[in-house]
Amino acid sequence: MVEILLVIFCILTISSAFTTCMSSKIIRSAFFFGSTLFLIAFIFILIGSPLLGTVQILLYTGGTLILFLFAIILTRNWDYEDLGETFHRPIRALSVSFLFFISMSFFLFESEIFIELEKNFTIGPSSSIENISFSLFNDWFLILELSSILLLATIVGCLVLLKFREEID
Amino acid sequence: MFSILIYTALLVSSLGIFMLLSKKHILSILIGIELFLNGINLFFITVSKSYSNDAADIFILFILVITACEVAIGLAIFLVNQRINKTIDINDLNKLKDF
Repeated sequence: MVEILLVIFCILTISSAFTTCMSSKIIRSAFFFGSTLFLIAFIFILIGSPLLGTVQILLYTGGTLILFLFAIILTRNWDYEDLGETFHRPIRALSVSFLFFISMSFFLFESEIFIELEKNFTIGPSSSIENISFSLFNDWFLILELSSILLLATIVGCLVLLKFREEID
Repeated sequence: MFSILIYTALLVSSLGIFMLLSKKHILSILIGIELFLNGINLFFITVSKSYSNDAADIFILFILVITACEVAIGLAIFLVNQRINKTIDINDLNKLKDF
């Protein structure tokens, strides 16, 4: 049952990501991007990482998508008319992404580690919230503090940029 | 099932790279970077289920934090560019250096 659901979610994720790429209007692209994030969060939950799925939905999808929507609302008069105008050298981009996909697939599926990983793969709760929080506040404590400083620096950086914008206006 | 998840992660990452390299709209480029990083997250979590440790979960939490920072800064630059240059085109972003 879980495996069928996973396959359905994988297909929906790929189609949603494809539609995100192919939308000419940025608002549609943002909404399909939000649905892609939701579907990836459901995959996280189904393969046994409920904490990550919840963080992805509550913080990441909520926060990032709202930021995108605010940016679109503030610049709503600026959009391209049709799909062709939105692209800049699409053949080059398509070849680079295709090369990435083919090379990664080839190196992964040809390696011996991959076969071992495929044998050991299990869907289920391998990492509990208790274990994650314990290692986060013990082994990874310094990095957690550094990432909070990074978030603070981001807030200050955004304020400085927007203050700069007001001075120009 | 492992192969399907890996293929999904690679496809989402590839679509992110395509969007990052081909689009002219700055917001679309940011969405492309997000798609790429989400594909990488899915790849990490799938591989970590074979090793049964918590390191991948913590790595993904940090990736989410850094991505949120990057989006916030990117959108601030986008708004500044749109107000000053009156365009959403990534090719005109270098005109910001004149101000």
